[in-house]
Amino acid sequence: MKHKNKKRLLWVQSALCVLLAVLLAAAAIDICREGGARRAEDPGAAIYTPGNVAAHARAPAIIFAASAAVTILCAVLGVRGENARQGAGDASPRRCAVRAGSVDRRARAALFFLAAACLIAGVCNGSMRDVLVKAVNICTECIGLG
Amino acid sequence: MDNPKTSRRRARLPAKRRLIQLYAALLYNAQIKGFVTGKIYTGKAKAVCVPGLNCYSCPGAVGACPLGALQNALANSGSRAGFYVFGILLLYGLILGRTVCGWLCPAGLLQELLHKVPTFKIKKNRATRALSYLKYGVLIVFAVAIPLWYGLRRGLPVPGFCKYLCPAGTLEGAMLLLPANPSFLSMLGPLFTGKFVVMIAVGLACVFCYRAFCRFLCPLGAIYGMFGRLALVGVKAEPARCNGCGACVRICEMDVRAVGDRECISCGRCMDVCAQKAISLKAGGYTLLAPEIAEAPEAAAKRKRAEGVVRGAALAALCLALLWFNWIEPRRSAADARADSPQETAAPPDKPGDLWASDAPVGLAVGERPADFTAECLDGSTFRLSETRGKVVVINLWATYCAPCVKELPHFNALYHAHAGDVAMLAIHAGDVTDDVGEFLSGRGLDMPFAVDSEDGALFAAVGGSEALPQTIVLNRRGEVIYNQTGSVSAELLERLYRQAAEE
Repeated sequence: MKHKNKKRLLWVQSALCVLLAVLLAAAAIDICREGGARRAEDPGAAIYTPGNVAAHARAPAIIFAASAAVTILCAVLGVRGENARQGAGDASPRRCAVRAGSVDRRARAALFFLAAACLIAGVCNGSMRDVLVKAVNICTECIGLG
Repeated sequence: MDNPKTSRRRARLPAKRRLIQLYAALLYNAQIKGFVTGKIYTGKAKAVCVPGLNCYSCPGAVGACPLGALQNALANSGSRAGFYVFGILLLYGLILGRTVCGWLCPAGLLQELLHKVPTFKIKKNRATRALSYLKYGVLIVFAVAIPLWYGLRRGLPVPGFCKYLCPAGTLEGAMLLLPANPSFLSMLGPLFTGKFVVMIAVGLACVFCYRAFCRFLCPLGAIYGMFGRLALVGVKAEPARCNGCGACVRICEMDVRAVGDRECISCGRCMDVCAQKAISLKAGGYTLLAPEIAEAPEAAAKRKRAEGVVRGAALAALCLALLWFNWIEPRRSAADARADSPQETAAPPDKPGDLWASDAPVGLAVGERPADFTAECLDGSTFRLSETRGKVVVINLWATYCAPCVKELPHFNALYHAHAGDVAMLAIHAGDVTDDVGEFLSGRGLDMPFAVDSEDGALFAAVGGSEALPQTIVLNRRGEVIYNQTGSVSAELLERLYRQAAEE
């Protein structure tokens, strides 16, 4: 494939990705704004409803489908993201990329003992149970549900 | 010229790493059926933190997220030091360091897959190097300062990073729970919108910039990065062989300054470009991957055998995990529950007409009538549902370790006093208790009836409580459910629900 066409394809895909992200973010903000106005009148009203989510999902779905199609086309034509496979092209380091000096094995061993001691103390003082209790319950706010 | 064997082995390295990343993601989320049922795993294995970033509210997760656990431990530090989480992070850091990011993190895998989308890419540069320090700020502010401040000053467990930023929580926790729990949709609001926008921004950044989240935002990467060369496993370079050409740093897409430094995720790409063959992936003194395989046929055969054994053992472990978490353990738990709670099969205690003037079917959906239950309250009184005849009943399910639950308790208390005598209220703490609930409530000015569920969750079962907290159930004067939702409620909504229940 010609370099110029490859670049064109990459531009299209880049634009589609940005557009998709903008549309998704705008849809979420729009749903929240509309739902917020509804909730101001009725505290029990849901902000996100299946109806308004579906209504706002149409445009992003179309762009997503287009982006997926371009991705498949790129895969078929063997077009890869520029610089994705050829290294980062960073300026040469001004110094040796390998740092001399050995790891202090005693420090490592001491930290291993500390970790083991912490684990044992954690099992004894109940902090392991705290992890379990938190993990087996869904805190709706913690995961962003509300 | 390269030895053909060496070339083949090098070519297999990315695929090998990808397989291990996939393997780790599958092992962390071995409860596959959770994605269909929308129920999270609640077994004892969740006490163990996995090394990578994987939300423990993901329906498939069978382990705890180390970052979520760390924030929770810091929030609880007023009552108990989180030795266990510090110990496990120290252990993972010392053994694996940032090798976790490169090989064992599902979030890392997702970012790499997003980066495969063919677009123009942003090369690493001085700006990205400067941004790589941002994750230390995120660690200090969101994962340490916010949980500590809220935990110690206000007694609220607020995991700042999970609540405001974590895209893994939004994707794995919130969004994967929604399809099987459509009622959760009503909970979504500004908080979800903010997190969704953050997730989209992070996803977009990852398309254009290699591992953008990992490099600039991930506090777990910041923690593991602090171990640097102290980690037992990782990419190591031999200074004696290095000629300082810098090819390894140039090929690397992370913001590394030297092989194996705080930004190095030990992916091993630098091994391919080192003409001096100075770089290898090591575990202590043992070489896991090296550029040269100029070895004797016997040694090569031995290595292949060892690799086969490791692969077989790993596959067997994965199959066992999938079997255990999807079939064996759920059946055992169900059998245990049946053996422990014979009352579950007992008939409803009373006829509908005996309790309320309602012939609604027994159940917990709107319009249904819950079966009678009795709860012993912390103040010594007894709450019996059938004795609330003619009153509006408000039941709140909460826990001390759930920040929104604690924040909304004053609203319930205010309603209880505003309509004293006309409202029967009960706040039930989950059976999993981490604090002395009575002590936790003292000094908060809350005097409505509180009860603590038993360890087998009998009260939660009676009122249809789930793993998601908080939950509010409102019954009208006839004892029929008019509202049963998880998620926070405002004072205005509670007042409105009261009025609706009183009028019906």
